[in-house]
Amino acid sequence: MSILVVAEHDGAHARPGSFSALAVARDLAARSGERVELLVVGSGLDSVAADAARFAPVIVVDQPLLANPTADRYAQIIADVAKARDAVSIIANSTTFAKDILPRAA
Amino acid sequence: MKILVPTKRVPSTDEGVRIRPDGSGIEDAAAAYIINPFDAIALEEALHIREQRGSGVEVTAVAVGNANFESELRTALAMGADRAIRVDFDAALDPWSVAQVLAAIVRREKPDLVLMGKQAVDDDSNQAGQMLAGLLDWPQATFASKIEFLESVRLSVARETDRGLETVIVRLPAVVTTDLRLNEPRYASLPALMKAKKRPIETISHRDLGVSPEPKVRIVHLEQVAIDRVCVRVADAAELVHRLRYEAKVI
Repeated sequence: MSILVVAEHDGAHARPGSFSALAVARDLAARSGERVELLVVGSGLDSVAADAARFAPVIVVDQPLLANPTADRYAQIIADVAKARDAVSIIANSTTFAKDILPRAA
Repeated sequence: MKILVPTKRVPSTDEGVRIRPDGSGIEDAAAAYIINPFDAIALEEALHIREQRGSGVEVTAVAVGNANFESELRTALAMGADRAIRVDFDAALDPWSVAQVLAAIVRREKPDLVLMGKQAVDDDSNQAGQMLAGLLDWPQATFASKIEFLESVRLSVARETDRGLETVIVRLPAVVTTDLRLNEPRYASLPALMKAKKRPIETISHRDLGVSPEPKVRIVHLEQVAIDRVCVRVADAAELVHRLRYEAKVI
């Protein structure tokens, strides 16, 4: 069982707000024992993945078609990864990126 | 072309709302109700599209709720909606259950475009539109501040995001949620409001639609936030430093 943190990035690094989300996830996991994993979605993610990996295990979905965050593709990926990783919660920083995509993933 | 505009009846944000002493919700009787401002913007946009096209566009307003919801639907008719539908429902709803009901209405009405407010001003959820798009597997364009038709089946939508305006192109049928800068809704004139009282509102039971909306989110408690601050004016920086050090003891 896991907690999935959807990280937002700028193509080179994870955005700082993602770490707020990670902190929340860690807090929840400390009480219930789930593992915490970061999800990074996009294209050309080597730098972002390396940056994120310093904080938690990272799941990377890297495809040219995912260069721009479109809700339909990203929501499908988040849902599929959540199921594959047996996630009990999905956490993200409350930005327009997450507000657009997460309800659809739900 | 059919445009469906989901609308929500919300307490007016100008008047104060009172919370019930047991924290279970707000005092319904005391509140003044209006059509959710973001939905009014969506309706205005739908009417604008109809006016631009000249003909062949039908705008239908839909609300999910009890008989009280008819008054906001009449406002929608008075503003210019062609039809109004109320799905009769009188229990707790959350974005998920609303999306399920709307999906059933979409399957029944088969609109080309669902145009709705990005969020309702009572709960600020900002979820129902996205969930609806997901249930229908339709493209979505949220937080729209400008909508343009590229061809009759493709829209270019400018979206308000944290980083500025993002433009997406979506193919119809699609769900578009509206943001504040999209337009300024027209006021329904008094004669129009009077006429709207006689217009029919189609009422459907959620059972006829084949949905039994079960909220996944339950509100446990509502309470007023107590603001306990006192503002003090200080004469100069020296006094500020003195107070911070010796009174507030934070430096």
